[in-house]
Amino acid sequence: MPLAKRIIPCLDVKNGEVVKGTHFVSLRSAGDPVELAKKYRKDGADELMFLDISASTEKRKTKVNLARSVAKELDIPFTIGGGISSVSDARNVLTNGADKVSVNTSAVANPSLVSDLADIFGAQCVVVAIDAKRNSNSGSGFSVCTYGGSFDTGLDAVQWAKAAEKRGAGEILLTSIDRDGTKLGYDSELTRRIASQVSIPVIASGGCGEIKHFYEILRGTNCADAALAASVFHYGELKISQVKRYLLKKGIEVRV
Amino acid sequence: MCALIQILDYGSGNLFSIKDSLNRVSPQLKVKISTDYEEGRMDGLVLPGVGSFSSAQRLLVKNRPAILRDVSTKKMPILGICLGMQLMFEKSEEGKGIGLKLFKGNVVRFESKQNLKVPHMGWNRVLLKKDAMDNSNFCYDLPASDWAYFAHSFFPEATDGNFINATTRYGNQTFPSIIQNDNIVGTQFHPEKSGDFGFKIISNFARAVISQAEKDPAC
Repeated sequence: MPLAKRIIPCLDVKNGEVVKGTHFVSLRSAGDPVELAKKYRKDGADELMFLDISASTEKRKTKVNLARSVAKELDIPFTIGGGISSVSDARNVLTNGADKVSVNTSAVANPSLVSDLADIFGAQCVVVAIDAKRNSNSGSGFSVCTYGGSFDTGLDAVQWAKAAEKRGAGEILLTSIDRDGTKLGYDSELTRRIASQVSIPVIASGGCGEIKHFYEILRGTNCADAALAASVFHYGELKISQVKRYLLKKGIEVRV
Repeated sequence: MCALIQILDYGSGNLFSIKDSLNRVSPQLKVKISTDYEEGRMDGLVLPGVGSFSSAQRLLVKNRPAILRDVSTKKMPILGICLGMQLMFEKSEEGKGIGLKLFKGNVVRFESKQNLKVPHMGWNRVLLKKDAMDNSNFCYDLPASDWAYFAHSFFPEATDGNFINATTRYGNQTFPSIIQNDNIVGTQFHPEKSGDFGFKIISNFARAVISQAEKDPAC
């Protein structure tokens, strides 16, 4: 029996409020994280993702408070990411209510962080987020960027995904920087290239603008296991329940 | 009247959600998180679902005799979630040591083959056995089939089908997803993360804990 394909709203949180930008910049406000979490849970979200993108030195405190206040409202899994660079950062949010942590820049800089987290908390707790960009110099055609998409490491995205899996990542959150905020649809080529090379779930992210984009990325073989979206939900263009009914009609197994 | 319930802390991961979920059922429930089991004082015990078999098993060693006494003589309700359910079996391929042996059988790993992704992580169907709804207080009011959230690489190969209340299929493998022997219950999924369906299960367990407390009111 196949698992249900997951629909995951993503909340980019900056200084305690949800924001959304294009190509990772020009941020605008989209509301209170806890209120949005409650709304999405009620509408049938399968999971929630929180990415803390604050630049302040208060980061740590923000994340712990966020974990606690969201955990009080949610009975579905939720992941916190952004600025988690050590086992103690991860422990801090996991013991305060988060179910998983997502690591990105710090994992590229120090891949053993992935193995350390998996050993202590289990693979199911560890999401490796990869921000990928088309790069013709890279073997797979995609390279890994860090620091919120601003720095191209030149590292091949497929190779890094495979290495992360080997080190114990339980999931890959794969964001296309080229598509982020464009509403042109997920980068299907990127997603399928990575999903065919790893045996852990892949969450597709970046570019969702219409209901059919969900279907395109969740159908067929080597597709995504989950689709993440932000602005289409934040600005009320689509409802999660509506997306799921549509997918079900198209023959995609979802939880309704 | 209040009922005391302990969540055994193996030292890593999220215990907040299960605690919060129990608190939502009834203000009568006083939930305590601790690494040491307090024999004779508790009306219920939860073995949570985070950590690894070896590390949790090491912690269980010192608490085992006390837990087993309360579970068998006082008939105290005990709920094992995910890894906590696996700890109720004899041993596991995940690590060294023995489990609580409350159920016969061993815990084995999913074989990763034929595009089967391991860990088994996400929402899958829980199919209730026909008689489970009528015969089990723990499965009271549950639908015949519903979605639950799983996150695991290992599962118990139960040897006694009588104790299986529900099963789940992943790839070619069918495994027990709800087991029960009287006051001893286990779920392979995370009820605290399984929306309304999971909350029903937590409520049923909490009600058993409250009636346990009524037998011998401690507070």
